[in-house]
Amino acid sequence: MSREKHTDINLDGVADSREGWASQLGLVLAMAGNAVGLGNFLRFPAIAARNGGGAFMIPYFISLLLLGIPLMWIEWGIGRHGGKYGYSTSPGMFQTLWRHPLAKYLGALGVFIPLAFVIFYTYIESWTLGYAVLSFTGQMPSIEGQSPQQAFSTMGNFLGAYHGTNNGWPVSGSVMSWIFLAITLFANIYIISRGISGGIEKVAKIGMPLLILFAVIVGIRVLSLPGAMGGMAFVWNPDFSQLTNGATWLAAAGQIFFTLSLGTGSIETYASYLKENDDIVLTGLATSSMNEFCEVILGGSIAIPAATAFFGAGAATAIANAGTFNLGFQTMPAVFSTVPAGFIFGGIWFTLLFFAGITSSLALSQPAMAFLQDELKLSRQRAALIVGSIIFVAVVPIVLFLQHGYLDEFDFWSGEFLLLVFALIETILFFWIFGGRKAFNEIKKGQQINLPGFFYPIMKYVVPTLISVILIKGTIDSLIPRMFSKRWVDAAGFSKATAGVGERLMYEFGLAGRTLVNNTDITSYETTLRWVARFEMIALCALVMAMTGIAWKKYGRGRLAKEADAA
Amino acid sequence: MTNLTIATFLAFIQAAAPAAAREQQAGQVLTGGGWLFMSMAWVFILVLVYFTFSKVLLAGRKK
Repeated sequence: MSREKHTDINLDGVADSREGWASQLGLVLAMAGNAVGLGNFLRFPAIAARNGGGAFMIPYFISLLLLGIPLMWIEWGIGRHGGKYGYSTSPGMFQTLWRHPLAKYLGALGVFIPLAFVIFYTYIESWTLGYAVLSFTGQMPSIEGQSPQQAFSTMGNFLGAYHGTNNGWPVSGSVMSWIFLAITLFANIYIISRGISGGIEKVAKIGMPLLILFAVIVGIRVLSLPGAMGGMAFVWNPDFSQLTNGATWLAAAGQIFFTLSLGTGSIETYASYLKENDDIVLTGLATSSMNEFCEVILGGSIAIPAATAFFGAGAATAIANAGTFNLGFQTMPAVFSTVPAGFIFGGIWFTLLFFAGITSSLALSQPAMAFLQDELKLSRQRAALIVGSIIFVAVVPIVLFLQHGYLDEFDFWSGEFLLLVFALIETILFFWIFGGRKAFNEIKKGQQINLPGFFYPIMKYVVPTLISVILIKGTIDSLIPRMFSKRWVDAAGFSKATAGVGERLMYEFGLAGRTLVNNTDITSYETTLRWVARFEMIALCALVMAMTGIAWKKYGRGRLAKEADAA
Repeated sequence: MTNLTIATFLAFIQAAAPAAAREQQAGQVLTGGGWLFMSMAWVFILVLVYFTFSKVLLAGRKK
């Protein structure tokens, strides 16, 4: 596999001097770094606890077997197959699977989605860096003498001050949050500008072992707290009645989908740097196992047990329902403030979250980087500068309108909904248009362990069916209420009875009236801002599609797939 | 929004876990089923990690 700078001859006879991975272990760690993120440590334990505890592991592992691992192999297969023709991103990869002009534009989603994702993810990642520095330097607020509830409130106010959401202004963003955002963005851009083996792989080789070491240290400290085993009981004691609930099975399938970073387009890009006969079956399985280790064993032993030890078992449900950010940025700092040398453990906790975040954000940035380098023939440094500039410009409104749902809107579309859409498209293209048997044999090429034949029907039938079910459920539960539950009544006096033509038009386009998002009745001001966020994403998507069209016309990138056919 | 979340959370906690919370936590322990599921999940994952990584590292050494 060693080919830091390989020069293969493509099927069109053109020398392919794209970069590559220096070692199989480096690839596994980089892929695992892509998958392991904040969700492993904050989302999984809360979801498990809410959906039957130990019994949740039954649908969880079944989903891993029927959806997670097969879909991951599909993405690896598409990536390595596209890489064979010199494509590093999904526009070209999809063109090799489906000879239709539309294919490249569907593939453009695989560049747009990770780019939109990394825009808001970088900001969240910067919070972990900021909190790590504040913890290590003892700058976190003191909660001495406070009850757990008061401590939680203190940490909430501190988080609000960090975000600048409680400054009384219509826009948020504190000086400190801007500084750490700039540092985080610079670190990301610097690393991706160093390339695959010289940047991403090196960071993964250092970051992933450190992440695991830090998680073990924090986990041992947490489990030694009095009452922490109550949290373990909350996470693991089985409630079998939940197994007859369809929502539990969907929650398990959704968690598996998101924890493996499926549908982002980043797995395909990483896999494209493999040679045609490099193994993907074992390597993909190793990546999944590492992710499950971080999620189930480490993630399940830290946040909920710590929170339960601090707040008491009676508050466990409230903690699990309070959400990822509350658990990570309010509950955990409060817990560490009460233990001896807590500033060190708090610092370690946020550093491990930062490592989890940066290895994921690098993977999310790489499709855009590879697209600019390979399809638009830009140098690596120039591509990194452009990606960094796009992220910076696009993240500004997210920082400024954080409290008005701007980040939530990016998260919903690029971090949840579109991932499912993209995963469904790629599965259909690979197994139904390219050909099921061809696709299955493509995945098996160079396998170091045998891929059992029963995975063929799973990949062809079960995977697209499961994705469709999750997608339909997500549409009914989240998309429709978010987009269409408009109401005329408004605190500002906006009502159907008094509305003029202009107001009626604004209402119809969702720019006025009230909307129900995440069970919260939001104002027309926030509705408008959410539409601005949606338009920002649409503009970004249009830009990527336009650049895809340019690459195909100006640089003849579509030629590779056609000549591959002839070959 | 953050203040609203905090207020909701605090109200929930105060309703669900008054002063007796600490006593409750002492009473909540991992049951036999809890230990069983936790052990099985951990062993399954650790075996998978060992199996895959031993092969990956072995392949690396051969090259």
